[in-house]
Amino acid sequence: MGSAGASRHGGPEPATTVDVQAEGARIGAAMGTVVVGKPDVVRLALVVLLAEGHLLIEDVPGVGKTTLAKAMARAIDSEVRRIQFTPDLLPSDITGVAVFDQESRTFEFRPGAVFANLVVADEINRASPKTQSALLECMEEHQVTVDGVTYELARPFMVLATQNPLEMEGTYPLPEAQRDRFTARVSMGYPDRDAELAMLDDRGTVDPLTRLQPVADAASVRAMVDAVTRVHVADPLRRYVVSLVEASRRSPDLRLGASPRAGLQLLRSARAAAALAGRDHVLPDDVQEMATPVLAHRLLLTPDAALARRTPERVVGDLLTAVPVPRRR
Amino acid sequence: MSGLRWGTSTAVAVAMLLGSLALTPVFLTSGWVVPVVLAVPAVTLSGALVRELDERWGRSSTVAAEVVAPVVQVLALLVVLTLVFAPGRALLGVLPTPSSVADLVGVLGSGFTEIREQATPAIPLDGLVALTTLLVGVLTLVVDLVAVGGRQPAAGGLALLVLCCVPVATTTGDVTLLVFLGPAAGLALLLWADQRLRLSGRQRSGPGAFAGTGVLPALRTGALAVLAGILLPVVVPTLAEGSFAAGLSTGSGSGPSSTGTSLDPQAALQGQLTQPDPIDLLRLETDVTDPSYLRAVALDQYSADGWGIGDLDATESTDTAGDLIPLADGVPSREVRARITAVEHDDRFLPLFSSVDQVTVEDADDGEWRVDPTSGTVFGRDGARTSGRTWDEVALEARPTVEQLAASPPLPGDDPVQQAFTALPELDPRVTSLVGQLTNAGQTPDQRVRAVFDFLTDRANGFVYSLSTAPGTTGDDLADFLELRRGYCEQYAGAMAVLVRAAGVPARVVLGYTPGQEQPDGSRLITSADAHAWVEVFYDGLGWVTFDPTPISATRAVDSPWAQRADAPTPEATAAPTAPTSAPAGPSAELDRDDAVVPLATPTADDGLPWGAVAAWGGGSLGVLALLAVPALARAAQRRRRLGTGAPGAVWDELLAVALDLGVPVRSTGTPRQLAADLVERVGPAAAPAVEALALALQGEVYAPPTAATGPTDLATPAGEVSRALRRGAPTRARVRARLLPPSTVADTRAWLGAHRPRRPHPA
Repeated sequence: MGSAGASRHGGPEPATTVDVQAEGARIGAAMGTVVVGKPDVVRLALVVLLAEGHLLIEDVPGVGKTTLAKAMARAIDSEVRRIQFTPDLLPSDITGVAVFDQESRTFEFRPGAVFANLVVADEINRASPKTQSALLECMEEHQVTVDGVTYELARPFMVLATQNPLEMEGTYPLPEAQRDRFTARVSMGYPDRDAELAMLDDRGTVDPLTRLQPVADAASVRAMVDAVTRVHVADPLRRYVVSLVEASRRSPDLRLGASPRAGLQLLRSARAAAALAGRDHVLPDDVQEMATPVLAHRLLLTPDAALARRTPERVVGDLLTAVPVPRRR
Repeated sequence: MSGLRWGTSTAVAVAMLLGSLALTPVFLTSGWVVPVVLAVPAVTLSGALVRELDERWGRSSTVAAEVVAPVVQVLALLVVLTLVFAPGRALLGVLPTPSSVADLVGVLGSGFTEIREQATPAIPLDGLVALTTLLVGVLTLVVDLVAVGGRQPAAGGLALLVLCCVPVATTTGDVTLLVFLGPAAGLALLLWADQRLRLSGRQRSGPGAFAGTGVLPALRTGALAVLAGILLPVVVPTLAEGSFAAGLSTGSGSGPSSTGTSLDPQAALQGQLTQPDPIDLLRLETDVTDPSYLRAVALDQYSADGWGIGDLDATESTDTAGDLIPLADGVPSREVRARITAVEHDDRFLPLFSSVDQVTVEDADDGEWRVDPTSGTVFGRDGARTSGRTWDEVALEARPTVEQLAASPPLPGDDPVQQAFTALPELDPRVTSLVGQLTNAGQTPDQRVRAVFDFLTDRANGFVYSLSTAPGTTGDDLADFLELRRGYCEQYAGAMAVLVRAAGVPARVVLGYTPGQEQPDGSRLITSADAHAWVEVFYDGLGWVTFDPTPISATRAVDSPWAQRADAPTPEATAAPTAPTSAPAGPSAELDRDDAVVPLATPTADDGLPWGAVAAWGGGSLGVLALLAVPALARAAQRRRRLGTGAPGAVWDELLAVALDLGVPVRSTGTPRQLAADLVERVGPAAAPAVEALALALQGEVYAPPTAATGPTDLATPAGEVSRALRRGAPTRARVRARLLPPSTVADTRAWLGAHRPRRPHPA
């Protein structure tokens, strides 16, 4: 979507010290050197970052899920943790644990993997549900409570979880309630032929990840996140978002529609998308752009719809065509 | 805006009332005024109310009001018509019920009959007034639709032209100034409303610019128009009045053209009767207040070619003193003295009251004027004519009683009168069989005469006055007339005389004049429009007795107590209460005598259609057209309103409606950018900047923070550009449909109806 029109009409820039569009473009470009040929995925990851959400990257192994997460972690000079989820991973490995210090004779808190700005949760569905839910609680509450003591997590805080498709072996599927915690789900997809060729060339010699220099830090990302919250959302668009989630609950194809949280996160993502496009206000196009990644993974098809080989993505697409965009204040 | 709309509504009502003034010359009295004055505000007021209600409580789709308003207006008109013309079986006398509607239809139907039978100025009978009210009401509806709904008051002025045309097309002779002044004033009012609407729409008129800008150009244009109107007819060759009719002639319009100053016994009277401008023929001064017909000449020979004049006996001069054409003994009579002056009359026959006792033509040579007692005709000898003459007459008019006529015995078969005045050629078998049905040999002559007379004058038999006589199929003029039952005085008189003769009673046709109109100075003026023909029947012992089978208007009728028409009112009829079930009855009953015809009809006479039918059908088709035009007009109004607001949302609604009308696929639920993309795909890159500008305006208006000042941008121009581009790209069929029955209007209406339909609560 071109933003030429918007900038002409955008009026004064929001009162912010950061140029979200420019910063975002820089980060995106940096990530793009590693995640070749996937600008959409990179952009979506950025949107989720700025919306203070979490990203679920789902695809078959080997298409660059972890690379994406790593690339973002690298591009932003901030604290990064990576957890490889395995069946024997314990919840305390994630949240941290209070250890008794023999010398001071007190319990000392050892922070877990979530105490970072970016947490890459690799193959989240390989861990036991108990461990999964430990992470998901952190994601939702932005804090960890161990032995009655609450520890705030860093800001920005974003979990990039990768997940193999459910039919793969040795996986524990994420329950709906937990999928709902992720702001968006993205599918990497195979790179196109040229990108794959280029990748083979590069990777033969040196890992591009190592050459990736940080282009932003936690403070600048915080500023960007703040700027995003100031993006204007006109009343008609709030109504539009509500209409969309309501329509999903009424859809005959769906067993489970979108939650109120889904609407909230859709609007936040749209804000971030608008800011990334350099606008101080959200357009319905932003909402529509974010609707599929934000809503699709939360929806449960009815058995009939599943039999008819409908996908949640298509259902969201139908909702977008059916629900009229408000064109009046 | 709503104040403006009420103003326009009021302007429409007043303009239509002013325009209705044009109908004044069509009617004899002002009985038509009240229903019209009721109907016009009823239509405008109901329309204004619907629009007002819709604006206050309606949904956003105001197009629906433009569709619903005409329906409500039609209902309001129906209520007024019911109230005035068919309250009998209506609910509370106002609300139409099926039976009251049936009554109303009956009244309107009788209106068509009245239109056919009456000529102008017509007597405002119920049916005729109902039709007039309907016409004016429908016209008001059309003007209201165009002016208020379509926001084009000036265009509504066209309907005033229709009102103007009614008297122009139906009255003969000069049209009074009122016919133009009324509609002209109405048009001026509509133009003013138009200007007011336009100026207020732009908000450019300064304070106090009541007349608005552009007064000078208006005056200039008006002056030019007047000048052109005066000069053009001088330069451009025009058609003489009636030329169209002559060109369209299907009937007997090919007769010799008559100058109208004399009665040509061989030619049809039609010439005189269709004179567009009646010629003043005679001035009559008499000592009676109810003069009878002036006879000119009797036609006593009937042949296959029709009635003709027999040989005149010129032995007797008018110089003989007294009893020129004697009256039989014992016949009641009255003495009539008259002085008659020829104005433009120029004929060899002297128009005189019947049974001339004495006649003195001033400055006449001895023996210049002769009397033929057999035919009762006075005529000039050796080329003497009436031109410029004045003559005095003393007549002893026969006034037989009905009883005397009834008692009159048949003449013996060898009586010369019986032989001469019952002579007939071989008649069409249908004529003889008709006579056989009407009469029988056992009846008295009077019974036979009256059977024929009643047959011709009873309205139930469907005889219609018309100056046009459609060509018959039988090849026999008389049989044609009796079959088609359509004709004027000569045919009525000729037919009656033949039928009476066939029934064995002596009869002849008389040509002459009805006694004309009384002038302010007490004299009477007889014009070419007063030319007439009637029948004289010979009664033994009583002489020639006048019968007039032609339906004739109240203003010309001469009362003949011995020859009451079958359609004359009976005392019972006048006394009968208004029965709501019999539609054509009611108040018109006592006027039945008058609703007959002035044989002075119409320029459209020769095209075979009576003016009334033309006007009524014209009005009817106009109404149908108006109803058909409702969707298009509503759509136009919607377009103007949307573009007029200049709001991006409204402008986009309009663009999408255009797309829908033209069948252009657009994701109507899409975002502005998607809409723009769809439109650009259709209109091509040329119009892309316009589409983009519109999309940006919409985004800025709806989604941007209110602080972001979006300057007033002109959206109408890019919108017009895009609409045109869309139209250019659409197939002709889609374009036509978009004009006539815009799918967007249909969809809007359906949506509106859906939203307003009372919902049945779901059973629990």
